[in-house]
Amino acid sequence: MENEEYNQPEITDIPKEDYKEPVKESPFSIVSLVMGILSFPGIFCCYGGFIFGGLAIIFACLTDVGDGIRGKAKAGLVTGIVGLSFSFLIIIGVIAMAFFAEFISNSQYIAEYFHLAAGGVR
Amino acid sequence: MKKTSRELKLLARKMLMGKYGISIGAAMLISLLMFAAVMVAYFIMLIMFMGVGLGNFDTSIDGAASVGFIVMTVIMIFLVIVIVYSVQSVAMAGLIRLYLNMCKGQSYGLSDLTFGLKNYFWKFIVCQLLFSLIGLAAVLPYLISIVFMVWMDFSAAVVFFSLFLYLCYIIIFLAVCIRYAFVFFILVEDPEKGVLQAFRECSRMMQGNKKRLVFLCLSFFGMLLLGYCTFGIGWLWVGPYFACTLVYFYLDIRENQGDA
Repeated sequence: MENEEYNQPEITDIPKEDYKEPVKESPFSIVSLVMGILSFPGIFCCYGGFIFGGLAIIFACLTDVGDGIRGKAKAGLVTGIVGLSFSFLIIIGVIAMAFFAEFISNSQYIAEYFHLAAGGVR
Repeated sequence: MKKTSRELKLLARKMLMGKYGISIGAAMLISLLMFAAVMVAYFIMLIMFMGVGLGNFDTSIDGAASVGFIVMTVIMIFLVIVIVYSVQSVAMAGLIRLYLNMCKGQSYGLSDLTFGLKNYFWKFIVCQLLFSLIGLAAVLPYLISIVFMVWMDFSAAVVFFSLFLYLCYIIIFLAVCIRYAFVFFILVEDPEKGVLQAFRECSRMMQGNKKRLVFLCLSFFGMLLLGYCTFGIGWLWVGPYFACTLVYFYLDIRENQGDA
């Protein structure tokens, strides 16, 4: 018969101690990762970094059901923290720039820009 | 053996997996109900104000408002508070029932939100009223000090005394809230109990557990800040998480009381 000539590989059983059930990933891990990724462009969109970064961290924390934050949730957590941190830094930078506008070169132009941006009259 | 905050929070996260939809739905229903209650209360107040306007009360800008106008305003504010707090207390009972059923593994649904209405609703209203009276008693010295502050043109001594009284109010009210945190839970579990009985039982139950509750609440501080960062969107998920953790804390105290 044909099959007798065909060299079939030996099937060995996987030892029970090495077998691990595939971990079911919570939908929150995917959501956390998406929010974390969205937090990067959100940094440049006013409060987007805060919203998406914060949500990424919250969702990542909620995926921990005993075995820690893993996989996509961990990635979402890291990207969320980065997005949130950068948003904070940018806000602090803008406030510092507005506060110290009088002390840097071309300060009058910058001060006037912020004055107009705040609804002032020239 | 008393469970730690970490264990209680883990239980809450495990239990809530797949159940955030109904939790958020219930919270939004309650919020809509509260919004409707506030609108009704303000509508009643508006009609009463219009009635005052059509009446003969002296509300001239130059002179002081008539005594009748002041009394009417106080009554209207009181009515608004009573309506809003009554609806809030009954709705809160329903929400607690939903979370208790979820955490105990019993059948649950949005119909649990009507639990407060169907089971001695007046007890929950009286509970809320008692809390409000305690809060009012604690804040009254501070309010009187504000009147003195304005009368004495914000002198430094009176301002500092007012701040001190405000601090006392915060401490007293927090202490009362912690001591009687689970009165509603006790009444929801057994609506046949009396209101004062529930208060006494809660006080007994919380002996030796107040610090645990404070640490548990403080452990959610980070989540609270994240909720602020997300302009309240994150609280849709953090709210049920916090509520379920409190329910598990309550069940843990009950279990330890039973063992003792």
